[in-house]
Amino acid sequence: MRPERSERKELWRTEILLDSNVFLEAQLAERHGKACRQLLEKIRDGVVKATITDFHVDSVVVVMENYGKGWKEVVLFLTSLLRCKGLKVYPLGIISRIRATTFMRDYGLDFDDALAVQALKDLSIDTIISYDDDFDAVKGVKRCVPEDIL
Amino acid sequence: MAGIKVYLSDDVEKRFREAAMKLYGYGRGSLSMASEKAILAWLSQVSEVMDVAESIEDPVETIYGMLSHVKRTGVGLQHEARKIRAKRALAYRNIA
Repeated sequence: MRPERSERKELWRTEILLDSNVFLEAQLAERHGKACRQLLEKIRDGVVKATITDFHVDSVVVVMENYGKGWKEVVLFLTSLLRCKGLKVYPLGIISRIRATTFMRDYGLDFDDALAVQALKDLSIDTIISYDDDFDAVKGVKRCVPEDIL
Repeated sequence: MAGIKVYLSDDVEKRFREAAMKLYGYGRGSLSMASEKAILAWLSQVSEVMDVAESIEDPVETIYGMLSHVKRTGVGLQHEARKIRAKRALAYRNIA
């Protein structure tokens, strides 16, 4: 049975939510690559506790596939997530997906971003690490970039 | 029987203890029983991917630069994912 919201908060003792673009920037290894790498190293070592939703993990995989990466790279990426001591993957259910639509309505977010905001609400946290400034208009959401928190 | 000493955060320890006692009774052995079940459940999840996991020396190093051939921003790629999903969902229409 899915735990109540307050219970979920306890189960997922999380400090930050990661957006897909943090992993994508690390994969691109360009302008933000170094900062994302440093953040991911802290998460790898369990120094920083972070969560990413299953949907946002899949977004990274969709992009990887689109740019020619096959199952071997995909399995390495996914298994690398498993090796990060401080990372949890939060599974979004249908209720969260339905609730997310209110953020599409209220803030004009696309579904991906609305799901991230809903995940923040589900987990009772307020900080998302993202380079996407679409979150800046959302009340109660604090957006940081890796460069801010290192 | 072997013993393992583990350290948990206070709230997890409290929740675990309460749940184990409620499920298996307040006598001796309840925590061990719950622990064994939890460990077996975790093992059944990870055992299938252990070979790949062991082959990864550093998970961050593995991820870093995977898309270095792509000249886009992370946010741009993320928004592109939405279009890719939509395109794939409708791909069957082109086949018919």
